[in-house]
Formats: sequence, structure tokens, C-alpha cells
Amino acid sequence: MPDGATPFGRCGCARGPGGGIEGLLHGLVGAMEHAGGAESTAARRGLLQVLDPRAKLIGLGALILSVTLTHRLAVLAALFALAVGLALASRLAPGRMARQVWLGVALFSGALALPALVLVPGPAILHLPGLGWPVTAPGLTSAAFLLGRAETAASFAALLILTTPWSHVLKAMRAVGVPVGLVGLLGMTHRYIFLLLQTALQMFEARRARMLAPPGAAARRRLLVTGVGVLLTRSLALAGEVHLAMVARGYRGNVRLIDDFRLRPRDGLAAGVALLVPLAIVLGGR
Amino acid sequence: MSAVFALSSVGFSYREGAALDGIDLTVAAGERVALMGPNGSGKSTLLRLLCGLAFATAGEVRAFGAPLTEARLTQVAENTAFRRRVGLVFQSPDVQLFNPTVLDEIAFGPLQLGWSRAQVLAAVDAMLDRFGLGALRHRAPHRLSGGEKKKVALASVLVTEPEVLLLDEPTAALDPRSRDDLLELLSGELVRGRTVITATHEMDSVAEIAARAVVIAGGRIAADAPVAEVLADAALLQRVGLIRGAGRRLEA
Repeated sequence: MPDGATPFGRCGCARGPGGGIEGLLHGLVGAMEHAGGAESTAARRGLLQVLDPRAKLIGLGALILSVTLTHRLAVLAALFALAVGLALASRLAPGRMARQVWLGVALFSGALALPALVLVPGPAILHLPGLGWPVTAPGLTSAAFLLGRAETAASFAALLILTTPWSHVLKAMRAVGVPVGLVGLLGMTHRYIFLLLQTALQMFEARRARMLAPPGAAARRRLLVTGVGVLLTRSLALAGEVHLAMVARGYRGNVRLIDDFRLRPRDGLAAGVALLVPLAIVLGGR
Repeated sequence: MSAVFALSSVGFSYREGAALDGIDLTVAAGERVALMGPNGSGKSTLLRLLCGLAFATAGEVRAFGAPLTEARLTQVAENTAFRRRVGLVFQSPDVQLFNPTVLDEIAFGPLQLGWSRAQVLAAVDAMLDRFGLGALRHRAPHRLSGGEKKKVALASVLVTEPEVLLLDEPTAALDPRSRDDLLELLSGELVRGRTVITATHEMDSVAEIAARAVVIAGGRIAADAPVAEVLADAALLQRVGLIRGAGRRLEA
């Protein structure tokens, strides 16, 4: 199957009738395919794509640390501008970043930040129309920090994911000392969640194909529960089979990974420059 | 020739019931054997016993002259030596291919067996070349075509150069071109000199991959003879459910 294609069509976009659980499954498979789509952006020739994954992980990690360290909105804004600049230099369209990162983070963090506008005590700078609640200056600053930190940190994390094949992210994590068990778990979870989602979707589609009429609410609930039970049984069987396949090749409880990365001077330079940012923030009084 | 496997009165039962019963079988080094039988006849279970993934509930399985028991394989040295000598390619590549890239997949076995990094990379490169998989080195195995997955699965087992290769339905669910490619690999230099035991119910290809056929039905050995002899015995094939009446074959 070529990259980006699934048994449900290219990009795994949700389609056709069948709301409820099937719609949810289509959505989840679509999300997984979006994750897979990162492999195509990672293959482009861009600033971050040409860097060694370990240097990227360390460098972008340092920038995320900088986001958490700074107490100045201007520095936060500069870091966000840096994230946008890195995205452009890495041939990532701002529209894609907006859809996949900024919008979702803004909605989620915005919902959390909104109460701070009126709950943090301080001098009022305006009153909410209709409600009359005062929006305070410290409240606005708090909300701006929350939103700014979330957006900027998520942008740096997305830059790593969108410019690096997932397998290289895992190996880079291993190379910088993340426990091998956790790396192995992440890798397998990513791979088998996708497989189980496909299985679940096929199961529900097969069931729908044999239905003469749309089921009622009670029947839908019953089908959902039995479907989940069957999926759980299949998951256990799959887990057992995968374990046997590992044992057959010598696995005895310790996962060992290999990488063929090569660190070049520019990778060291990039990571070094990025590491200077949190240092500068700390030395500059944050 | 020395016996690689010697099974005497072997039985195996799942909770649902007996899968194998009274199996007597000897496989000599360098032999190419097909385990033939319809679905559910016990072929895959027998392969698992030979690979030390399951253990006989009756009788004895001997591998390389010593009993193949759970106790033997719990010893690190014994387990490593056995896994180095016996490789199993599972029927479903989705089970076998669990690593993030083709490189990791092929490197998995040698790494578990304690090979050095340089040895692993050299062996992986050699396998990628032999299978023409170089361009797929950094691809995720689960994103490959069915034929490519099967090749990666085979390469991931052959990379440790096992003396014995166990294949579970190697051509199942492949398109004709991929099937022919795989059969070419399985009948060529790549497996020469090895003991190859293949579970299959595809009679069109069995002569290409084996010289001896062991027919299994209902968990018992129904016949053990040269492939040509077994394929010519329509009554036997019909009796065990490999062909329908009037000589028509039941294809998977």
C-alpha cells in the first residue's frame, strides 16, 4: 500500500453514512493517517529535515524548555516567531500548522485561560459587554502567558514530529537516554493502535453490510458492546501472536534498537545554538 | 544425514481440544518438507512446537539431538543457540513486523542474539541487497505492499542465517506476481543447504518448495511421501479435504 493510503481511501478521510461509533473510528483512523502524513513532510528538503534527529530533539527540546522558563511576553513572542520562521524554512505551510496545531491549542488553552481574564485580581482595563465582569490587566497577562506558552511549545513539538519520521523520533529518544522500554512501548503502540483501528472499522463495516435496516438505539448499544468485546479478544490474540513472533527471534524481555545516524558539524551547531536560548533566558533574568 | 527434529508420539492440546495427536516425524538436515493439510489440521501448531514457541503435551520433541523443552529454552545460552539455528516466518506479516522501520525489523533478531552493532549493520545491509529492499530501508513495514512485507519478514528471519527455516503459509494472500517472486526466493540460493519446513495448502506451488510432503489431517499424519507421490494420490487428497470430489482442488 503506498504512503498515505489506507483501506478506506487516501488520507483515510471519513466518508459515507454511519455516525456514532463508525464515525468516531473513521475520525481516529483519519487522525492516524495525518500522523502518517508527517512522513511526507519529513521527506522534504528543508532546514529542519536535513538535521540529525538527535540534534533536532535536543534543540527543539531546549526551545520548549525556554518557553517554560521565560516570564516575559516579548521573549515568548520572539520564540513563537522563531517557531513560525522554522516552519517556513522547513517548507511547512502555515495553513497546515494552523489547522493541526494552532487552532486546536487555541481552543483548548483558550477555554482554560478565559476564566483567568476575570478571576485574577487587579485593575480593570475593560468590562465584558452584557455581563459587566471586569477584565483585569494581570488576568489578561496570565491568559496571554498560558495561551502563548501552549501555542509556542506545541509548535516546537509539531516541528519535530512533522520534520522527522516517527521511527527516527523514537531512535533519537533512545539516543538521548529515554528508557528503551518506553521507546519500545511508544513504537508498538503507534503501530498496533493503527492496526486495531483498521480491524475495528472493518468489523463495523462488515456488520453494517449485513444489516437490512438501521438498528434502533438499543440494538446499536448492544452491537457496540459486543463489538468492543470482540475487539478486545482480538487484541489479546494479536498481542499473544506478536509476543511469540518476538520470542521466535530471540526476544527475552529486553528490547534492543539500532540506529545509523551520523552527526555532522551543522547538527552540533544547531543543537548548540538552541541550547544557548534557555541559558540566555536564565542569565537574562528570565 | 543427522536428524534436525525427531518427534515421537507427540500430542498437543488447546483448551478447546486436541490439535495434534500421535505425531511421529523425523526431519533430516537439509531436507525440504511441506506440511500439507486443510485449514485447522494442525500445521501451524506443529510449526510452533518445532520452533519452541509451544511445547508438546504428550510424547517428545527432540531438536538437534536433545529434548526441546520449556526448561531447556529458559536457559539463556540454550535459548540463544536454538533461536540462532531455527527461524520461523509467521503467516501474517502484521504479526511478525512490529518494528518502526525495515532496518529495525531486520536488525531485531541479530540484536536480541547479542551481535555487535557493526555485525548487525553489515548483516542488515547484506539482506537488504539480497532481497532488493534497499530503497525501503527507512520505511515503516506496515506501510509496505503484501509482497514487500513478506520479503521483509523472510529477510528478518534469514538475517541470522538459521540452519532451519520454518515457513507458515508463505504465499498466502499474495498477488500472483508477489507469489512468484517469493517462490523464486524460496527455491533459490537463499535457502540452499538449509532445512526448510513449509506449512501450506497451496498444491500448485508445493513441488517448487519441497521434495517431501507430510499430510496432516485432524491432528494426525495421514501420509508421508515424496511430493509427486502425494500430489498424484487424488483419493488421499480428497479424503483429507485438500481437494473436492471429481479432482477439483480446494484453494485457499
